[in-house]
Amino acid sequence: MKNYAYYPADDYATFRQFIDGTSRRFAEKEALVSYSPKGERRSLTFSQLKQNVQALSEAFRLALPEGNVAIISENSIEWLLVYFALIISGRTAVCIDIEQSDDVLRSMVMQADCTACFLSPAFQPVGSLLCQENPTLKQLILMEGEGEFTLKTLLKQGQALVKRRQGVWSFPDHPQNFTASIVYTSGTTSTSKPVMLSEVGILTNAADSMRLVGVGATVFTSLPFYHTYGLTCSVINMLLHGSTVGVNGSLKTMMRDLKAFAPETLMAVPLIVETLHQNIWRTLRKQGKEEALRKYMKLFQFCRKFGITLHPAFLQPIRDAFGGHLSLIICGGAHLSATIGEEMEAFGFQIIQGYGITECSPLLAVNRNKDRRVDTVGHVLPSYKLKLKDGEILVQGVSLMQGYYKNEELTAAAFDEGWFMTGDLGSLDKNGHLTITGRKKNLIVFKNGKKVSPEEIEGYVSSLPLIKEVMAFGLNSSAHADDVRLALMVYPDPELTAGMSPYEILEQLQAQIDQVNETLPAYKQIQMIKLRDSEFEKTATKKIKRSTVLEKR
Amino acid sequence: MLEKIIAIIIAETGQPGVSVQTDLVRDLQLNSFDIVNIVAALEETFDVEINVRSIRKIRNVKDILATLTELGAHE
Repeated sequence: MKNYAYYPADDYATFRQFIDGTSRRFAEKEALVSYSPKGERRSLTFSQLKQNVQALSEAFRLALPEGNVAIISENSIEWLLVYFALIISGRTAVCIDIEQSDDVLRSMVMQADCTACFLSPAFQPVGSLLCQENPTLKQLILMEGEGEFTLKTLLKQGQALVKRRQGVWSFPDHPQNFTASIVYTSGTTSTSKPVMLSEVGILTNAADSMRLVGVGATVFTSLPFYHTYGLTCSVINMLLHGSTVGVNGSLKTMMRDLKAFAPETLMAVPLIVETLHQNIWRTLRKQGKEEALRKYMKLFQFCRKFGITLHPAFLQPIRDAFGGHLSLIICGGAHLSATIGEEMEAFGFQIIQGYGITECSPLLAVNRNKDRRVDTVGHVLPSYKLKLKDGEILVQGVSLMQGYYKNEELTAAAFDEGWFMTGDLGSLDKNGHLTITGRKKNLIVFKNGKKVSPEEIEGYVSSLPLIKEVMAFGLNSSAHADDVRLALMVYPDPELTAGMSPYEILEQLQAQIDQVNETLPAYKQIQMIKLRDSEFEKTATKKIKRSTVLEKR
Repeated sequence: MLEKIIAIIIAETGQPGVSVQTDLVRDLQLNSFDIVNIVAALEETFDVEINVRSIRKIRNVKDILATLTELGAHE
């Protein structure tokens, strides 16, 4: 079915309207569910979500300094309560990527001029360092435990305030162009870029995603909330729709929580889908059903041409491992291989892929339930205008970022006559399906949706003594185009390595790179080194011709 | 404790030839999912909790041994 009507979705201009509106519409329905490390279930209804957020907003108005406030924590219900309450109380929430090193975490908090910081127990050691070195930072608040500056105490104070005012907000709502979040995204230099997103931009993006995609009544997410994909596309939009969101705080308990929560919809990145896909094959292989599965795959492909869907009994235990109700997996962050997407469909899970970038709040295009193709990223969201210029995807729309924080030069460089340049190359077919065909920027994209700029990695290693010239690149490590590992191509300093064998050079380089790796998050660690015996071919401006090197590799 | 750690890694990854020097990412080509699965198995076996910051620091088998020792794990 092509071009069928959008699904209905409510528009909210501010998070206060969103919290009030969803509470009125969905009242006693469960909004958020999570599981403790021991597996105990905990939930909040939409009414309780509003009560908690309102109480915290009131408390934050009184107890927190104004300005930008960082959240450094794993996924949790508390993370979301703090996020909503900060914005409603007039603070901008700075969402910190917790996979970064202590040094990077601290520099992000400083760069965003944070006046306060919320910390989960795992990040308390970073917090004490932050206060010593950062005069702007006035307050640390612990997200667990007892004491004056803990979330629990602030919640109690706020609840008392709300009770005294009989549930009426004590302060007016703010203008809709308020900067709700500062989120960091991979830059082409050694520092990440802080992206400012507006409240109305995020909420419009969330509503638009629900206009294009029909989701289940229960949605499970383990996507990190500090990324816009995890927050806008797996929580805010789902709450707006009235779905119950199962929040996973740790990959360690993901499979356990997934089974316990038994969702109808799963939010994922390719790494998660591929892991589930591998587990299914492994399980069926162990059960001696591999041959039956291969025959079924062929039958599935044949029947699909005629619109017939099969549900063979031998696949039921597979579905039961995911709780028994899972029928839809929404995948974004990076490209999922078409083969895996098609096989997952054969297992009974509809796969919907989308495409977005942080600067766009983040969603730009997504497939639709009844009009989906695993080789495309689907239809452009109604609130975005898209054009192609020399193959590059350029966009305009209300959800676009307000700019990079305190960096007008960088902001101006991201736009071309009012159009935001995504850096991605694409094409549109006659039915409006967008396909990503390449990348203008040099970013390396991993299966978990993480992106790394080669220039950043080169910056870490270019001063190592044995290196004369270096280029970082994504090395394909399997038949799948996106299964990449971070590799270095090195032209060793001929003077310093005179008389050394390639093996000796590699051994010494590896020891030095091991030290660099220790300071980097896992996905940025260099996994392979290749040597070359001549200088790199360069452009007129003396930049390495990356595409030439990769072609000749 | 080392033998038990190595046995867990082999059981979780299906890759033999693991030693105290083995690098989980470079030598075994593990991704973040694989590493947390190993961590979950270690937590269950040694009855400890390894938090998100400690997981980040684990690069090789020696790091696992150091983390477990620091947490007071015993067989």
